[in-house]
Amino acid sequence: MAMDKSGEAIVTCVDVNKWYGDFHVLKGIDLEVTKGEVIVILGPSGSGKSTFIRCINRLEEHQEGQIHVKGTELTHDVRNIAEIRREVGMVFQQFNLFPHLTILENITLAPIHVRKWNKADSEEKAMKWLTRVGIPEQALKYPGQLSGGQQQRVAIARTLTMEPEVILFDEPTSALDPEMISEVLDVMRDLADEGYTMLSVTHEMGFAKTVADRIIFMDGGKIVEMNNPNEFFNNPQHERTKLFLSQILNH
Amino acid sequence: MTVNTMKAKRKFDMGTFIRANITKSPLLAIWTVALAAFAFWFVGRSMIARPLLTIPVVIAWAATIIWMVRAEINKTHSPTTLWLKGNLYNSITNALLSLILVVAIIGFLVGFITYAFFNASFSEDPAIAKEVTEAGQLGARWGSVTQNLENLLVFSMKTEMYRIWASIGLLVGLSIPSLIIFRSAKFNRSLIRRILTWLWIASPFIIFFFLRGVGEAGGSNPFYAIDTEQLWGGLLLSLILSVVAIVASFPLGVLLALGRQSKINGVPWWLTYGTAALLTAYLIVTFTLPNLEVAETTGNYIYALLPLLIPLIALFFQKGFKGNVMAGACTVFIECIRGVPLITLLFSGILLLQLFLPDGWEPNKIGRVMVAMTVFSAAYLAENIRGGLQAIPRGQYEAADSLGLSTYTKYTKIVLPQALRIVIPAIVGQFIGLFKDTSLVALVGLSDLLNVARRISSQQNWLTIRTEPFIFIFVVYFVVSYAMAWYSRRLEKQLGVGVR
Repeated sequence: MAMDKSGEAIVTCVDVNKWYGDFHVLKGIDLEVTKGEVIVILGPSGSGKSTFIRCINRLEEHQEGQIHVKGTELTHDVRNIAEIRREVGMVFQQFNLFPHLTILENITLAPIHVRKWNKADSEEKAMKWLTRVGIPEQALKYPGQLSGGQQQRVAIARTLTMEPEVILFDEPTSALDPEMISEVLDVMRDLADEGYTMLSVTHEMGFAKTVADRIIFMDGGKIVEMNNPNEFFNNPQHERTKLFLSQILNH
Repeated sequence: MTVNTMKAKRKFDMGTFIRANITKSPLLAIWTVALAAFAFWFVGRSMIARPLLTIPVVIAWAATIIWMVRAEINKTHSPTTLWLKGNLYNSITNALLSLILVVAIIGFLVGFITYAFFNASFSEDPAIAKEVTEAGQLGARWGSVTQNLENLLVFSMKTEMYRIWASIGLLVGLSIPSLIIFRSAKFNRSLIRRILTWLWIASPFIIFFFLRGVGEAGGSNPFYAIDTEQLWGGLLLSLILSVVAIVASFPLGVLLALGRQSKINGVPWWLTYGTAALLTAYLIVTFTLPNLEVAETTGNYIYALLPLLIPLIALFFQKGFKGNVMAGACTVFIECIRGVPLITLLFSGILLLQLFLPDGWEPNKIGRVMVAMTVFSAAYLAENIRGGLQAIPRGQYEAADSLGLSTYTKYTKIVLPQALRIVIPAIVGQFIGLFKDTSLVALVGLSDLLNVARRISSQQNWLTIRTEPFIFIFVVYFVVSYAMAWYSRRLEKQLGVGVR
């Protein structure tokens, strides 16, 4: 896949609001993600950044506003939800591999049952992606036999074998030992270079600076600032952003 | 220097020993003296009754204590003396208890062996049995068991043994290839393995067919239907009842557990409107049309047309009702069943089941008991499985959702395989309980193992003989239950592959 930033909107969020009981978590989020774009979402904990990306594939339900993925609106209609989940992949902080299935079964389960590809095709594609993330030799092991970094790379392969239009990363490196973070970030960097549309919540500033097309800074359930990485890190506009950056860059 | 002082400190000290074991508190002193007195009396009695067995035990006890104490004082412990110190003689109390227990166990074993073998009669002739056992002090008349062995194991099915041999043949025929195919990795995912799995799943149904039969007698079919209420009994009945309840309650329990967890609010539209449409059509045919024909006044007409209100009610119900019917119904069912003892359910099954069944469908007593036990087992199973479902981390559900798996695939491929593995010990424990609970059907008049054993004492040959049949069924219950427990441990280990 070449760099293709044609401006076609993949995900469109208009005035998205969400409450947990009385607590207003998301306060009118507007965002348009175009094809091939890499967006990194930063913010202090509790700012609603994870909640926001989990709304995009309906792991959380938004109460007001619209979310469209490739023209399909996210509603209570289970058919819409199923269609959107086919096109939106997600990589979790805790990997969430299925411990009772082998690596290969973990990856081929959804292609076989959701995409309805046959088993041979699914396995071929799974092996292609396992090779891409560098661990084809682990295919027949169980998740419990792999290191954290390897498990996360399997999770990425599992997501990508489904050929999604956009991939959500929910703090993919936060549960990893420091020496394993780079192996996962390298995979993510490759994907970005190849033109995959990615939305990533992360605390990895190096990754944000070098890979992101746009950086979103969230606080208190709102998008406070949105800019390209260069402007964002060198010339932040808001006081809150400056405070956040000074806190994380100074220690 | 330091090493010497440490050695000196660790040296055995009589004063410390007496303080720790006797004079620490007045209560401990009284206890130790009382226990010593009891041990003296108890062992003394045993010595008079069984000197040849007791005296060596006492000598061995004293010798090992002296050996252990010498090792302790001289610091020359070997693994054996350390084991003695740690397990048998780590205080005066424990040393005395060890002696008392060994002597007591010997006493029990000697008594039992004398009763069961030396003084026992193995003759099936009641007169000889009586003579032999009354010559000695107390002896078992095993003839009561051996003569009734067929009754105890298969009851009146002894006239239909070919059915039982067919069933056993099927099980053996499946077991032998299973030993090879399920053990070897070569057959993983092979077709033959899948066929064998399906045969195992089908085997309870095939065996049920063998034992119960279908169709009239006299034809070419050797497995014609028999009167199960008259013929089934003994261990066979206990096994049939528990296996039927286990097999039938398993899917029911899974569904109940999932139902209780469901978060679906309201009723699906097709269910409401489908029911309403059927009900309306039925009432129009059976109620409206006949009434319209004989209607005279306006009131009569309105009365006849009342069923037409049903669709309207259904519409309001569908729009207005937002409760979780599924979870509610499952909870009520589970709690009602768990709230009553099994024996109550058995009686309800016998007396009330008929009210819920359509006319002309009258299961016999065994069928009713099966229904009652299945329902009972399903309610408990549902709660066990629900425990397993709750132990699955939320991330597993989220991963399945984010991959777009359907609810069906999510549960059958991800959630249930993991949840059921977690609850295997609980489920097997419940099944062992169910097998033992089959003894309750004696109370509703079925001839299970317990009932047959009880009835032996009223046979002409074996009047008042109770102990021997009960010892026999004790062994049978124990062997079957222990086999299940052993298999469960093996299954757990096997399924433990790849657990995080």
